[in-house]
Amino acid sequence: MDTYLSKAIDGDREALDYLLDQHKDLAFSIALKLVGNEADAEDVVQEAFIKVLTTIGRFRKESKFSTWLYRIVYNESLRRLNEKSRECLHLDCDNGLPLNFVPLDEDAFEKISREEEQKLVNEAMEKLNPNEHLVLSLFYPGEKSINEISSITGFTKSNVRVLMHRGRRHLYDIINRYKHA
Amino acid sequence: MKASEDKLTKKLMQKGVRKIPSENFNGRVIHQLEQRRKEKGLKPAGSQSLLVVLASVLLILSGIVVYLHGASGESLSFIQDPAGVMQSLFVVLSVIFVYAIYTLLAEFLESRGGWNGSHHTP
Repeated sequence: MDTYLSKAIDGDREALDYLLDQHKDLAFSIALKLVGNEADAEDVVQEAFIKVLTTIGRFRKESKFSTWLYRIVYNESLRRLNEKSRECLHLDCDNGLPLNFVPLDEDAFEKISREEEQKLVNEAMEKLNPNEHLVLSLFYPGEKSINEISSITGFTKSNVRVLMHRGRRHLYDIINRYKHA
Repeated sequence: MKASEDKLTKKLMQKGVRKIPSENFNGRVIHQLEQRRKEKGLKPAGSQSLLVVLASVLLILSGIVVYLHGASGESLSFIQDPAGVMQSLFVVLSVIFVYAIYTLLAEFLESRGGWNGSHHTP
């Protein structure tokens, strides 16, 4: 990654393509959940990449490049939301789904067809609270630690843990409801 | 948390990553990036410095005039200033000078300041 980063700083097209390909889809997913529509999410990701790449000379490598990038994606998303005066994104804005969920059938996900699986995934992503989606996306596909997520979002570590816990519960609830439907 | 639950969440979240719809997203970003870099390159680098120098010269000149005016206790022979125009000019130029110094300093600090890895974003 460091080699690509150095080349990207020098304006190497191949290295820039590599960096963009590595992060653009996850960055887009995070922004999409926060801002709510594809056009804005794409603008947010584009702006974040441009900000990162124009100021990359100041990057001190004290943290990972991706941590820096996702933090800017998150900040840009919030800025976009503020501009549009959209719904609040604070931790208190939880949608209140009860945590006493039905115990999960561990094989639930394995038993369904590919078509159903996609439907389930779409529903799950849609129903997750934006902050839960944010921390789970950063933790799993983003492979970020709790510390890094805290640094990216500005949430405390315990808040990150709570959000992850709630997010998982919401996901299991959706899977179980899907299975019993 | 059970390992199976963790695995399930991971799988679900990985499958939930949406592909960016634009096919030419990379091209667009790189094009924008080049545009911004060009704009930055075209921006007169010394514009703020020039403003400071200009304001400084005018400030010094008006300062001298005001000083001489005050020291002599009467209007200068080459500048009639009954309404205190020179004094007003001196105040205005001081404000411009302070503003120019402020913007120059801000620009300098911004160019020197690095990201500390946790809080500052560009």
